[in-house]
This record gives sequence, C-alpha cells and structure tokens, in this order.
Amino acid sequence: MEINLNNYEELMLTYVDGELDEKTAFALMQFLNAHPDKRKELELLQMTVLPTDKEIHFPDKQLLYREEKSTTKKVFILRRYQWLSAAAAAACIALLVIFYLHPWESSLPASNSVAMNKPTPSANQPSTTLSTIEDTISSSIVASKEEKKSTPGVLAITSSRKTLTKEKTVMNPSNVIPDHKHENEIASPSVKPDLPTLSSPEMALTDSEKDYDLAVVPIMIKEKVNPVNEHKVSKPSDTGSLKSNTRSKGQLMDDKITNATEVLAMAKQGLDSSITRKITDINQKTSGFINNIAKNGIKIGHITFAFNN
Amino acid sequence: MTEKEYNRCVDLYADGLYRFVVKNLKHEEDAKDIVQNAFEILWNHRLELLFEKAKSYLFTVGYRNMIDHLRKGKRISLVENFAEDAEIKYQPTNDVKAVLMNALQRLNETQRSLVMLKDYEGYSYEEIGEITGLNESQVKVYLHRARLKMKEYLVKMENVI
Repeated sequence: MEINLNNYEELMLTYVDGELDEKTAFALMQFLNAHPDKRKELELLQMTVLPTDKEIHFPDKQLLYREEKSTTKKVFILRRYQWLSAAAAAACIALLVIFYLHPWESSLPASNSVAMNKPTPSANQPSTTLSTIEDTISSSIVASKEEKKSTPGVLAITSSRKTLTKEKTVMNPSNVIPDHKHENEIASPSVKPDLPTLSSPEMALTDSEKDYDLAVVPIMIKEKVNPVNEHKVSKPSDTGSLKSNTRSKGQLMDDKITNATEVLAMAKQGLDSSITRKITDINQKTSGFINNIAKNGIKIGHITFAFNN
Repeated sequence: MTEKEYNRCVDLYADGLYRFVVKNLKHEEDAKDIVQNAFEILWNHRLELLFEKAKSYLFTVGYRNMIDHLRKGKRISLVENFAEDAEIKYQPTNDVKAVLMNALQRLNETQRSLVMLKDYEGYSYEEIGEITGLNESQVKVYLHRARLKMKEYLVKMENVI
C-alpha cells in the first residue's frame, strides 16, 4: 500500500487504534521517517488514547451476584423439612411418653377402668385383669341379688351411685321413669334415716374408695347383670321394701354390703397391683421402649395403644 | 452460561461497564441503575449466551440503555460540537490526564462511547459496531473524528500552557 500525504492521517489514526496490519504499519513508519514533521501529529494522536482507569469501581457488587433459584428453593425446602422432622420427632416422643407412662392411671383409677372397658381390637393385659376382677365382683353381687333380689344393701349401693342409674337409663330407656322415681325416693329426707349402713363404721368408705366404686360398679352391671335383674334392682317396689326393712333384714343387708365392700376392696387392690406391676414393667422397659413400639406398632388413627407386657 | 460464569462476569466486567457508563452520564446513581439493569438482563438470558459473548452483551445492553437515558435529556447536556469557536473554557492544568478527560467530555456521546470502548475495553471496530449498532466503517470514521478533535484540544491546551 502506497502511503502519501492524502492517506497518512487515516493510517496514523488506524495505527493508534491498533487496527493497522504489520505490513502497513511498517510502511507508515518508513513514511514518517521520510516526513519527520508528521511524527509530531502521530505523538499527539497517541496522547488521545485514554489511559487505563482502575480507580472507578462498581460500588456494590453484591447487588449483582446471583444464585440459582432452584438451589435456593432446595435449600429452603431442606431446611423446612428438617424443621418439620424435628417437630414431628418431638411430637412423637411426647405422645409416646404420655401414652406409655399413663400418668392418669395412678391419679384416676376410676376413669382408667372405664377407658379400659372400651371395646378395642387388641386385648391387653391390664384390661384382661380388670375383666377378671369385674367378673368376680359382678358374680358376687349377682349371686347376692339372686339370694334376695330386694336386698337393701345392694339397693343402697346401687341407688347411692347416681352414675349407675344414669348408665342404666341410657342403656334401657324403658327404665327412665322408675329410675327417676327411685332416685327421688333415695334423695328424699324420709329415706335417709333408713340407710344407716352407708354411714356405719364397717361400711365407711373414703371418698376415694367411693369414687373408685362408682366407676367399677356401673361397668360390671352394664356388662354382666341380667337386664331383668337390673330392672328389678331399680324398681320402685324394691325401694318400698327398703323402707319397710326389719332388723334381721337390715343385718343381712349389712352382711351383703360388707361382702360387696370386701369384693370392691379386693378389686381396688387388684387394680392397684395391676397398675404397680404395669409401672414396674414400664420402668424396666423404658430404655428399650422405642424398639418395643416399633415392634408392636401404635394405631393412632383408632386411638388404640396396645402394650405388650 | 452457568451461574458461576455469570458471577464471574460480575467480577470481570462490572467495574468496566460502570466506568463506561458513569463517564458518559456523569451521574453515579443513574450509572449504577444501568449496570444493574444490564446484569439483570444478562442473568435472564444466561442460558442462551456463551460466557465468551457475555462482555459484549453487557456493553451492548448498557450502551443502549445509556443512550436512551441521555437522549431523554434528564440529567446531562451534551456538547454536540467541538468547533474551534465553541464555548470552551480552557482550564490551565499540567495534568495530562485531566486535560484528556476534559477533551473526552467535549465529544458527543457516540464519539465518547467509541473512544472509551476502544481505549478502555480494547474492542475492535467490528465489536464496537456490534455494541453500538453501527457498521465497521462508521465506527472507524466516528472514532477518527473523535481523536482528531481530542488532538486539537490537546494542541490548544499545549499552546495555553
């Protein structure tokens, strides 16, 4: 390429821009050597090249950095999953502790016996023990009622347990009227003097024992007592015989009540021993209760907690 | 382009793009917004782009946003002409760099952008054409005119000094 006074400036500018090929650049240098006055122009053009400026920086690059949303979501889900897992584990442990230790058993044996009487697909040992005790109690009382169906002692126990009356009312609607009459008679002041056995020393029951009996008696009556006998027990005519009891009948009633009380006391002892044995077993198996539960399983959907003793 | 490559672009090109924009706009917050917007667009299109093309893409987006901003005339008035009789206030200084910056600011935005893309970023005529939307010949002509104007300014300053 021939370099002359018409094209040298453009070639110098291209050279300053670094876009001139080597061959043309060599030719340009030869032209400038031949025309020294033009070299000053080249130096001025080279001065127009901006120097590297490293002083200016973007103020906050953190605004520009990005992270894949999917990664963030995964981390978030993982964290949330871990949190839920921890919460679920804590809830399971709390449930296991609550239902395995049965804290209500020691304080509320009556409610426990009612709960144990609920029909469950799997029968466990405590409920079996209770059934045995209840069978004993019910057979004893039914036998005593067969001996004398209008035994005042049985009537006294039965009538003094409003829970029993309520249970029977629910079970047999035809007895609603007689039961209410019966309750009214018992609750009336005229009847109270006729029931000395309940306040007698040999029949004196503590409040806790009464509460205990209140729960046990309705269960056994509901399950074991013949409806006919049950009806007879709560008949107003029977309360009539209570009013007209003689001294011998009262003594017989005392004996029956004493027997019933002894049976109930035995039942209480049986329950206590059952509870004690169960707590002992639980204490022994506390260390391995997780494995035990894993082996037997817990049906939370039916609220059935079976204990393999 | 992967997430890692994108963040690498931030490390490599954020300063250069910001410098390019802020020297044109002379307003830091506006320049910051334009750079952020350019990286936002780059992020949104990262899957379609190669890492090697990311710088050119960033400067293309940044340049166009900057030109739009300038043409709205919000915050800057341009010195469109650099005639000898223009109202140029010569400021005596021995700092060659400062004189050069003054000369740069007397260029129009297209010329100024071409000079900066060439000198700061080292783009070729072809690449500058891709960024600015000009053809290679236009880039060459505009860039040469800009340098001649700057040279004239330097000569005048030399005479003043």
